[in-house]
Amino acid sequence: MRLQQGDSGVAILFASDEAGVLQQLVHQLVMLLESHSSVPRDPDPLFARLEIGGGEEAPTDPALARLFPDAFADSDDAASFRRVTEQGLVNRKLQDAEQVMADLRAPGSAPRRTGDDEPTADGPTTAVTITPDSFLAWARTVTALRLAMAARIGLEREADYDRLIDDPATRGTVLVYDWLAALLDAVLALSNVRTEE
Amino acid sequence: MGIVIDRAPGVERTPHDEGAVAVAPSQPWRTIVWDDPVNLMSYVSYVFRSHFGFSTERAEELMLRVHSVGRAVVAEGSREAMEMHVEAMHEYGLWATAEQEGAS
Repeated sequence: MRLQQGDSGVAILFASDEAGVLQQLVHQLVMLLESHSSVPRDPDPLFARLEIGGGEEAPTDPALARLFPDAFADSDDAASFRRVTEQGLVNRKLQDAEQVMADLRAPGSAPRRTGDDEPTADGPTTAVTITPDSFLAWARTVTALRLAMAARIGLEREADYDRLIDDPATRGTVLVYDWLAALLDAVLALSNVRTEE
Repeated sequence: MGIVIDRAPGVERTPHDEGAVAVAPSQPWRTIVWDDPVNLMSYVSYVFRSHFGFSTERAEELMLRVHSVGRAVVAEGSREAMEMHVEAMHEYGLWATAEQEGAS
């Protein structure tokens, strides 16, 4: 992954295996969110964003519980808040994830050789230009992925990190989790560049 | 930030249960952001700047307080306003709750 000045702004240049991993993860996030969706999504994106509804209690799945935490310590307050806000939040997270997926699959970001006819050392790459319109969707989706991955491997406090990266069973997940952190930092840097312009 | 609608049309929120008179209605509420090991300091600071309109200095100060103390009050006001902030924080992936002043 590196940044590249493109015709339409600064692009994130993914190696093809990176783009593939990211697509798989975002796809899984969409599946996870849809599994927590209790009503069919309104085809109108605006109505979907404003959907009223939600469960009574925090999800039992740890990843969903972290994505949709209680808003109040009091369980009655938390339940009444969740009942009206949760589904809209699910839908907005779905829309963010779908924006990222669309960017990764867009014709402009199809795998291509960076050099001439000769393959480069990096192999095919996928260039994604982050725009002011898509920036937040990227930042939120990468964050949601990291939260879900952390919940899956039991990364609950900073002290867990060293154990998880040393454990062969979780090391791969932690490395991708760290790569997503670098991606989020890169996306944030792009937004800062724009702010200062 | 996203559009936030916190109740169905025509549904009036009753901020306090009937009969629950122990707490004065005027007692302000606040939005708490809690520390977690996942969210990047740069991202938390960004969210504080962009959602609350804090200066870089203020956002950094609050972010560091979340990180070192474990929680920070990032907004105070009506219950409805705090609920909007909490929902927005959850949309960003930050862990936030609303609580009434004096609750902790």
